[in-house]
Amino acid sequence: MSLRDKVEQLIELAKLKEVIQARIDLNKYGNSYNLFVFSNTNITDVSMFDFSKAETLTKMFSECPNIEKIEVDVSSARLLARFCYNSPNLKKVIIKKMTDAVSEGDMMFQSCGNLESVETLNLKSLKSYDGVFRFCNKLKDVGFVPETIMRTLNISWSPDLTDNSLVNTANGLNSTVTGQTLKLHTTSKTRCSTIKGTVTDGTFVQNENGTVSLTTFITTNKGWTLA
Amino acid sequence: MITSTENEIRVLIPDNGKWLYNANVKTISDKVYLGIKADASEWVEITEDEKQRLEAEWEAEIDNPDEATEEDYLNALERLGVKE
Repeated sequence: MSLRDKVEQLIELAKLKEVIQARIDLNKYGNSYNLFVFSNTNITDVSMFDFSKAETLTKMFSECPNIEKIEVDVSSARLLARFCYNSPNLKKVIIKKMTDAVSEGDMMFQSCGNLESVETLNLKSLKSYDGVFRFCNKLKDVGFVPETIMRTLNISWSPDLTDNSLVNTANGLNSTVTGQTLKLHTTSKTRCSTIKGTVTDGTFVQNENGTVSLTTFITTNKGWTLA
Repeated sequence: MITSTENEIRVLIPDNGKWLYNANVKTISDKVYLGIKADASEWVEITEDEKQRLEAEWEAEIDNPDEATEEDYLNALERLGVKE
């Protein structure tokens, strides 16, 4: 390839990047369209793009068979439903600056069968997050902003949640709401009884010599039912 | 259903072959540790058949995602200043 051809190719690529970035930025809340920019594509790397202005990230990375890692700033996001729905090779998701403005998160990671790690979720203002981790059988690490899980959360498809994730989830439960349930896989639920720690300023800190079990913390300190 | 206490936590365990179901939170479980103010009467026993029927209903409720239409894309291109 001649230098000129190469330069032209790079220009074309640059334009493509600009167009895609413009499409991301156009995903405004309340628009009559939703572009689902990378949905159903073979994209492998989205690190070159800036998602911080996008308000609608619905299905942004849904059904992307080749993507393994996503790290995105979602500081303007309001809609995150099916964000990574059915992306079978996705392993790690790093969500930065998820704010209280996000109102939809149904099926965010549903059917991501190889998903191992998700951080950091803020569920505080979500009207619904049904199926957020449905069929995520390999999920190990999950992180929540403390006190932001306001309604019943189901992580029962994930038997391999680490102790740290269970503690993190427990600390994520909001302690002012009533009648809510944390649904875990039987293995994880059983493990909660064996995790010991101390409670400082309403936060559970794992400690082998602690006297409070995570189950007690969830049901008594947080007032949530563990099922 | 057995109601007992473990470390001062109220615990519900269904009879053999049955499950606990709470319609308010759409949850089925094999063992429930009740929150300190939780109402135990919200949990009822169901059979394996009922469990499977409920789970099938919930699966059916998973709606199909809205797809972008051609008009959506034309609108988007127009906003980008792309003209045919």
